[in-house]
Amino acid sequence: MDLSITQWIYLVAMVAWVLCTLLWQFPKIRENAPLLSRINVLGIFPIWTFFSPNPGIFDVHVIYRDKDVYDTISEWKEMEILFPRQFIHGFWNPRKRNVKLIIDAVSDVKTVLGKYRGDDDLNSRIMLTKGFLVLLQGVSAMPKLLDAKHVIRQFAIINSTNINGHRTIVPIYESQYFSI
Amino acid sequence: MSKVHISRTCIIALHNLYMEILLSDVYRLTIILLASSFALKNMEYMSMIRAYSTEGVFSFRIVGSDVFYRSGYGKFFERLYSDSGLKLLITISLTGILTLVIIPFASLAFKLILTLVLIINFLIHRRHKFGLDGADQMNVLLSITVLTFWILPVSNTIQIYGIYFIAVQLSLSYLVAGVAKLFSTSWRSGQAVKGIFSTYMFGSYESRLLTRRHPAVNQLLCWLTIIFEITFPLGLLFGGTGALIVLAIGFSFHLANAFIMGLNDFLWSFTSFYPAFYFAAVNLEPIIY
Repeated sequence: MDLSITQWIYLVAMVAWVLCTLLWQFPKIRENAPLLSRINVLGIFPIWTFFSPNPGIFDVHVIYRDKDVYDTISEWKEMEILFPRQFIHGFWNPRKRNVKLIIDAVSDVKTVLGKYRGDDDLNSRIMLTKGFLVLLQGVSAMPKLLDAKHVIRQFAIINSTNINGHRTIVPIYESQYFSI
Repeated sequence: MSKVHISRTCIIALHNLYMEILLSDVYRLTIILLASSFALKNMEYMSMIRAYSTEGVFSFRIVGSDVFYRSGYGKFFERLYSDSGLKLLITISLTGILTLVIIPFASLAFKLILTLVLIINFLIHRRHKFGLDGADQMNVLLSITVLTFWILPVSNTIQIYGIYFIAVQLSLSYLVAGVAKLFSTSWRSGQAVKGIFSTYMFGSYESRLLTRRHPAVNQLLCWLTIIFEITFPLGLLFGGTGALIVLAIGFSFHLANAFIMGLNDFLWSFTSFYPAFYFAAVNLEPIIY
């Protein structure tokens, strides 16, 4: 082929990029290829396995409750994450990013839960995750549930399915109380 | 003999001229779609700007904690990625996109402003990893391609490479998604669509009702998705008509996903790859046949 040096550079870069993208689709390679991770610092290798192999068939719920100095505990209240689908969402749906944020945060917490279940330091490990901090930030911004000056708050993550109209609730994680 | 030679040269010259015009049109269309995708995203960000403040759920100190605490430029990024910094970035981006409409296409000013828009949107994209989706990944991929294959002073040949690169990446995106689904039991059994549509996150009232009342629809939708995604790259091999058919199916697929699942940004980000796919298929036709 009669190609200039620039054309060769572009060709090689393109082929390398496509090959790296292909390799990046495999979770084991993503975890064990530090060179690829370093190249991908700018996020140039996408992951194309949308909704597969395990599609998201759960709704994620984050609930919280408050406790005052007299140990009065409020009812659980759900953070508003889910909204019924509307026609307008086909054109305009800014809230989808918040939903995705919570999905990613919960997934981060679940990863640590799965990896270190039973370990003594499980809770501290979870509290150091970005996912936990995101949820904590979201929950802390919610109004108080008890009419008291000082309350402490606890939150929990719940998954639910709605297959065939049958609601199944699966508790995932319950945080410790923290001051807000 | 010489007449035949002259007419052949004319045909080749006309073909090259046609391809050159088509190439320019393809990049123009690609950039229009990409810019529209950014405009939508920018406006959606702006409408939720309070969530990006220090107290918001998208606070940079939290979602960007790895950059904020670990790099030496934490304070700089905090200012850049605060709600006011983000507002400024979005305003510049939207102004840039509006300016692109009135500036002559492919002029130096056009390329400079487009570069600015791409860089700003890349910065917005890099603000946080949580909360991003496949549409954002597609935008990054296309931005880098447009920047390196079209904005930089490169030859026509390299611009054509860029088109093929976009077409290959698009094909890969569908193919990989299709193959991953084919290897998934819940997709093969038809449970996946039923499960996804049953959620409040990605389903709608109508989709829940449909998949509950007609179990065969679940199986059908799962297999149609798998077949469409796996066979998508074949559109490159059947010329312009073949490409148009798969692109029409792809467009309908994303349109349905936008209204049922609320994934409106996928429609824009994926279709911005479509002009290049069409061009690649048209260009490949004389080579294949």
